[in-house]
Amino acid sequence: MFKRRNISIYIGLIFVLTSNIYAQKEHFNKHKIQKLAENYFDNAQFDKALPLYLKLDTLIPDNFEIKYYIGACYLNSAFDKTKGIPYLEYALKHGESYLPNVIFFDLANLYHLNYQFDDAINMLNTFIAKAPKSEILIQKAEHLLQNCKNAKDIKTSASNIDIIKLNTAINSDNSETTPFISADENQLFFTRTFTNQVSGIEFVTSKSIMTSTFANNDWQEAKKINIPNENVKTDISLAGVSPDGEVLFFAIGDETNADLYAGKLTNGQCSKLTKLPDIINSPYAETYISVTPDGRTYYFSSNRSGGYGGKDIYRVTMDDNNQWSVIENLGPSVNTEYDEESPFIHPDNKTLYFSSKGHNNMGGYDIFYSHNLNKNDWEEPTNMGFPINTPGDDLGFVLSAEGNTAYFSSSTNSIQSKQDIYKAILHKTIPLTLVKGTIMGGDPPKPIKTIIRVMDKETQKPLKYIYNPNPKTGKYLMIFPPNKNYDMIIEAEGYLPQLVNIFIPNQTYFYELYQEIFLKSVKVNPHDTAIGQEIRVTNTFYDIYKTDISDSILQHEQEKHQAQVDSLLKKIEDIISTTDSMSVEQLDYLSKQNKTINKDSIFEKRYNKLLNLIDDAIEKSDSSELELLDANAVYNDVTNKVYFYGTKTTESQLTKIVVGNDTLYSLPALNTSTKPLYIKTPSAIPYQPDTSVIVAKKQLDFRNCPENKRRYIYINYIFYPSGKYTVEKKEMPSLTDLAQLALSNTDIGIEINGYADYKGDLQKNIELSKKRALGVAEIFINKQIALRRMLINGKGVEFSEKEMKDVDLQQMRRTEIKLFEIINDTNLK
Amino acid sequence: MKLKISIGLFLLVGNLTLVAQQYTEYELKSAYIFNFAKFIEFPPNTFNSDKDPYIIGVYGNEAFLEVLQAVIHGKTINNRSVIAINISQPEDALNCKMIYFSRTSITQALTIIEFLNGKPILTIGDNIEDFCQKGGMINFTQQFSHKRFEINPDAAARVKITISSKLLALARIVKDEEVKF
Repeated sequence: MFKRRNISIYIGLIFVLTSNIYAQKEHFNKHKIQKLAENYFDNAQFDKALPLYLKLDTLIPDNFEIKYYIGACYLNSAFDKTKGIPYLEYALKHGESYLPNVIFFDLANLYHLNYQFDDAINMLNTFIAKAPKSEILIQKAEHLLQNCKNAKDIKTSASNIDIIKLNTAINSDNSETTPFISADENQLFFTRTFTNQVSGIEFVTSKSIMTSTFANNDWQEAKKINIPNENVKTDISLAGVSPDGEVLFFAIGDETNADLYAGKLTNGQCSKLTKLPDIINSPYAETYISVTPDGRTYYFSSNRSGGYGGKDIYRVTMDDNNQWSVIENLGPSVNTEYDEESPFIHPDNKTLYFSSKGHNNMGGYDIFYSHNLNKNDWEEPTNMGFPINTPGDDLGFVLSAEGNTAYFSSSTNSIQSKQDIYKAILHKTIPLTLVKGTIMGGDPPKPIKTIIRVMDKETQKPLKYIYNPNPKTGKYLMIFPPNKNYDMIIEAEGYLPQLVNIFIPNQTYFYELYQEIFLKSVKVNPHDTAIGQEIRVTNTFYDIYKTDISDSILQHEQEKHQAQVDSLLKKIEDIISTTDSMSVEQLDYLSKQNKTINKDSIFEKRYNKLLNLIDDAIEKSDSSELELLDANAVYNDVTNKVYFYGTKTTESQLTKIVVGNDTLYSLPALNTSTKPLYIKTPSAIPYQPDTSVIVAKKQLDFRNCPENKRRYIYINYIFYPSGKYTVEKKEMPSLTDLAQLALSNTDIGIEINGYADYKGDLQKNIELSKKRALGVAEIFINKQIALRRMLINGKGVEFSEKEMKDVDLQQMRRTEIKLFEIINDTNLK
Repeated sequence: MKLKISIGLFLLVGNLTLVAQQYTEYELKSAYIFNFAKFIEFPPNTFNSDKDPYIIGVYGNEAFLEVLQAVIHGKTINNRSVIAINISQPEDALNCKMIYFSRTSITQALTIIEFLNGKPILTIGDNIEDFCQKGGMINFTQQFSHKRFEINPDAAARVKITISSKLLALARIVKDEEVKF
């Protein structure tokens, strides 16, 4: 873009004026330096030309031409561009009539970067007025003029946003770009670019993909993610991350032809990269990609032909049969004749954030957002405003699911090659539900290898993503829009597939649902094989809007109002702090007034307060305070159910489910409650549970249950010596185990059948069989099992056609204990 | 001046209703566990050195462990740093000063308690049926219970742990007469 203008004749004149020998030697040096500088300049090696011109400037001070070249070098270098301003100003002041008109355009560019928008506008107006119609830069000057005018408006209406630079665990002396976060903001991914300077020229030596975890209230030291395809070193950069942080996308290639690849992340290890399908990758450059939480729609940037000009944003959707839709260009609302880049579709599936050079920009790439109105119809984009957007390039904007914090990279002092990662707090919230789950199995529970598939209950369509909870921690992350029913199909190793229904209520703000799933085998005794499995699901629907986090948002909104009462409160604080009549809680509240909004410190405060409250209550043995805390606490809402496998496989309770190409047999659905819990108004009277909603459990009628409605889940026998009916001591442990199982599962009945062998008097044998059954029943009654749960039968004698041996006779003298469930069709729903 | 103060106090009370806080079950129980440490006394020489941290072990619930770690982050008890760890096998329990059993059956909890073999370690159950009756020391009760937790002081006394009367006053006392050994 920049060419050296033919003005060296003026420098020549100055050199001729020097005459003595020493001066001639010096002249030779100057001449040599000047020649070299010109060479570099003509070859657009501004980083190399700059130090030479700076040297010349010390040798020949007050030369407007040298000053001009220095300014031009700064403008085109990787160094701080705005340092060129005083040089160009000097050149213009002292050599306006000798210098080419383009100096007005150059200086305007620097003023713009330095936020001197009015000065830039003056320069551009002069340039446009003076330039001939054929001047090719006029169009660019007009574009910049518009940018400056926009920038003035945008800067004055600066949004209420706090910008925080991330700590040194993330930002190093190298350049950090392309930040991406998991939707819960616990994991950060970014590209770190290492450069080397040789003779003033900076070039990229390698790029690393880094990740950091948020723990102990801060980002932990970033670690490198090893990419198995090691042949890529410099031409790889992070292009996107799935909302659950499990899939990483990479752009590999250069500006003219880059393709997108995906890799799966497990325990910090990236799988071998697979190239995305040809419908996404073209012979042109694809550079960024963003995926919706259901994993079905991909938004990406590409400079393929057929767009609106430069890079455009496209999208493609995968249908139920895993077939790709036709690629859609997002159209003229989003795409312009200039570049559009780094799309980010928010987990709400509606808001697209992207960078563009062609809307009402402040300069370079600015970040915009646009709402999806209908199908591929997009609203006019809105500029994210200052301080997120600057006159330089602003790229790679990602937003947390709750909508309050964003991450982006930005250069400091307009040095484009040195970027850092920043966090912006927007003071906004978006109505989504973030499910933070843990799945465990066994007793005690441990993380288990699991696959979770999610179906939209209404459409019966599977969501494309299959969630693989981290096998080390059992954790998973899912995002759902409000007011919908979902079926989760949980396939855990060692358990039958399990269907869990969750309902995401209608809501107008951001929720977090903490879900815990525990699976456990049901056994009669620990050494036995499992006769069933128990699932416990706890959903804690945490209404974040009612907590301190949202208080911070509310607090911000109310800040103006608060400012008025602040001074008054401060006075009271002074008064209170000298007395001891106020509790910690109240002082705590006061001290909060002028706090900056920081999630971590809020949590710390929140916990300190809780710890102090309990400490205080114990110290005073004050149970009313504890009762109040307890009554207002959000207790986990536990839903559990035991499924018995049954003794006959034909009586299977399994439901057939077709998910895409897979057919699964799952246990019946468990409906979980996800009712949001709200703050109950604190009062002196502890909160009482609403007993009206607790419906008394209908007692099952085991004794009148016909045999064909009994589903047997476990059968056990105990044996007797001839003529005896008291249970022998050695049989007691197995009866205790059975009683324990019956006690913890009140939905099962016990059928007790006594038998006698055929030897002896028949009537006596019938009596004996009754006594055997009653003896067992008595043991169960003593173990607190209700008599109504038992069917007690004296079955008398089983005859045999053959003469029986003693061993066989012993088998006949028995009591049969059969545990059963009542088959109830409504039970399965 | 006097008038101003009373207006201020009024505002203050009004605002307090707004910020009255709702805690989750895990946060609440974490805060109890931390505070229990302040109201119990271990026999002399329980800690090897002054620098030994105060270790709280969590058995059977990693989700709880995370909340507990956040709540106790940066806190100390008698100038000792406090850390919470996951207990995955009985041996891990021996380094702890307190063990919290969550989502655990009474059978599993008793296996660990037996393994402790009389070491002075405070055992806490998360609403486990018969926990204190069978030799556990503190057991959380259900929400809306008359008392927040139950304590078996004899079980603690057997391993020379003294529980403050302040704590006992808030608990339902469970005798271990029924405990069978």
